[in-house]
Amino acid sequence: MSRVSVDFGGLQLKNPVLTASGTFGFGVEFMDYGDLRELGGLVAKGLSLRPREGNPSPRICETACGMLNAIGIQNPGVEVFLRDYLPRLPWRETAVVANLYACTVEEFGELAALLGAEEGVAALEVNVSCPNVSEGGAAFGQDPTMIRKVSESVKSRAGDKPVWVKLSPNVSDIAACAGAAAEGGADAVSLINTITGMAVDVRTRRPRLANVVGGLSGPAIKPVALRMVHQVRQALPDLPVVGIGGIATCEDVLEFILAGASAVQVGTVNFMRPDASFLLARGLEEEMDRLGVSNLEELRGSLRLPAPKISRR
Amino acid sequence: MPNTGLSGQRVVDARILEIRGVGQSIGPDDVFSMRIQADLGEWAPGQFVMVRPPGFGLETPWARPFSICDGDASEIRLLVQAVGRGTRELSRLQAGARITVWGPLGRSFQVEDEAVLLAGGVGVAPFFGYVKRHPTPSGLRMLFAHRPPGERYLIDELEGLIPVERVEERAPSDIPAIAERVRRAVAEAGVRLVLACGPTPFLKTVQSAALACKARAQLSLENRMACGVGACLGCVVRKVSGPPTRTCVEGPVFWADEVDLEES
Ligand SMILES: Cc1cc2nc3c(=O)[nH]c(=O)nc-3n(C[C@H](O)[C@H](O)[C@H](O)COP(=O)(O)OP(=O)(O)OC[C@H]3O[C@@H](n4cnc5c(N)ncnc54)[C@H](O)[C@@H]3O)c2cc1C
Ligand SMILES: Cc1cc2nc3c(=O)[nH]c(=O)nc-3n(C[C@H](O)[C@H](O)[C@H](O)COP(=O)(O)O)c2cc1C
Ligand code: FES
Repeated sequence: MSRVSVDFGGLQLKNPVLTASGTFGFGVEFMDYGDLRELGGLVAKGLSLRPREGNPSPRICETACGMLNAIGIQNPGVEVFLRDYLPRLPWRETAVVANLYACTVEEFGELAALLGAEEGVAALEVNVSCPNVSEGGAAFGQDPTMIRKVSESVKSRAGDKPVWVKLSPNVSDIAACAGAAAEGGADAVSLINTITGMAVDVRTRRPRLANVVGGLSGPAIKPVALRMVHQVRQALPDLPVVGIGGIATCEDVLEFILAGASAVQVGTVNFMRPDASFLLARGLEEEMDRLGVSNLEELRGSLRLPAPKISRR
Repeated sequence: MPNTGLSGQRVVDARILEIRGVGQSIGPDDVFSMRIQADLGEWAPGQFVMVRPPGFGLETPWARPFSICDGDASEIRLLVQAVGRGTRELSRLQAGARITVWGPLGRSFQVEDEAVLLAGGVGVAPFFGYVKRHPTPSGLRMLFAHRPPGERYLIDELEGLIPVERVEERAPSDIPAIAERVRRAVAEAGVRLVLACGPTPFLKTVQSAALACKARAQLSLENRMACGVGACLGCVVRKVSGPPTRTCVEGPVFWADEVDLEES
């Protein structure tokens, strides 16, 4: 164990810096910009059973300290990933996490069976943001019962692979959602996915995204993400958390770990420069030295909170 | 064996060698050229770079795409029109300033002995390199549609090399006549290759003309880009068949008959 390696939910990573789904392609897009083996892991673009064409354009829009996206999980389908991309990744040396997208519990199970059987896949991350049409249209991720069912379905078919359930922040009680995932057998929860938002062009009087609304990401959402990591950690101290949201510096990484995260994912900041995640993975030890942190285990959850009597809102 | 590359090799913390505008201050809509010391290796005209000025903190996460105008392996030149926050930020930089650059990205224009170049405004940028590197420049001619003055696009540099016909847009009411001139240029190209770069309405005119007279035309698209490297799927364009495709990797140069610009 090095001072930056982490071990949680049945998975060991050489460092806590992973890349977030949808912001790092299938990894191969970044091979010219860094050595993928330097990363703690990479989470691949969301995969569905069958190819998806995604949403109409414009799909993205830059906003203050962040961006909106409504890509619509465009992807070539799980089989193409397994055949054309996974073999090109250095999965023996860095964890490759598959991100699953489906709109029914059964489809999630099928995806889990396919991906769980792959030697090159280190863990499965479940994206529960699809609108659940058969149950009235609210996203799976907004209903703890559905989160539990999806978690059960994936876990029961994932073989020995760790399952991370990626939670939506568009809820009022994030701890209840995390609890539902844990009940369903999740080995960890990833938080957060994007926050629903909107932007308007006043000249054309049109929404800037063809989809009208999209997901906000980037440094703008970091405080929300950190608050949610903290709340889940407080409510469920034994459930590992993968922190995501606006991470841009090594200090941000340590901030999430202090709040209780076992590992983190870097998303939108990969667009600031394509070697951003490599720089964070590489710079972490130096930052720990600077701040006098001996190892991450010691740091995790060592947040100094005010005395319990003070109301914490 | 996976190609693991050389760490960070293709992101260049580059230095600005020279920045030159038309006047003392660079106002809205003004054009400036920027020479950047950056060893990007081999590149071909039509390819582009992503550029991030040092003044972009966390508040502006995306870099901006610009065609490589010309240059060599150790230095590139960009021709930039100040239209918004990022381009204005670039215009304020001075020689010696550091800047983040990555590329070369995307696919280049096809090179043939004869070609008709159609440029709209700052869309003329990639044609500097195209003309200068072309093996038989005598086979090239250009139609250049722009707002006055044409000098700010450094067009005299090209006029010394190939025949350039200029059409000026003095007012919005000139646009129909310009579109008509563009359509005629496409029709007159015959079997010659047509290459177009400019604003999206200009490209749509070229495309519809090319489809109507079955001209062989390539268009360089200006889609919004976040990553520039094929990872975010934000820059996609609809294809006539198959799933939407990434402008930053499979483009920005496309054949006119393979893309549907309706959403652009
Ligand atoms: C492949 C490619 C090559 C280009 N080459 C050149 C060039 O050589 N010279 C030049 O002056 N311009 C070029 N452009 C356009 C240039 O990228 C935009 O003018 C620039 O991004 C505007 O940024 P801004 O912050 O000043 O404008 P803002 O309007 O403030 O930008 C807001 C957002 O919209 C995007 N955006 C705005 N306008 C455009 C546009 N026309 N195309 C793409 N994205 C846009 C910006 O990148 C930014 O993300 C090129 C675009 C592409 C895609
Ligand atoms: C362009 C884009 C595409 C994304 N695609 C996915 C996806 O396919 N699956 C998923 O679970 N999350 C997806 N996300 C969400 C990110 O993985 C991440 O949770 C979110 O962006 C917050 O992190 P950040 O602020 O560091 O970007 C996407 C985000 C962006 C910006
Ligand atoms: S800009 Fe990200 S895929 Fe093209």
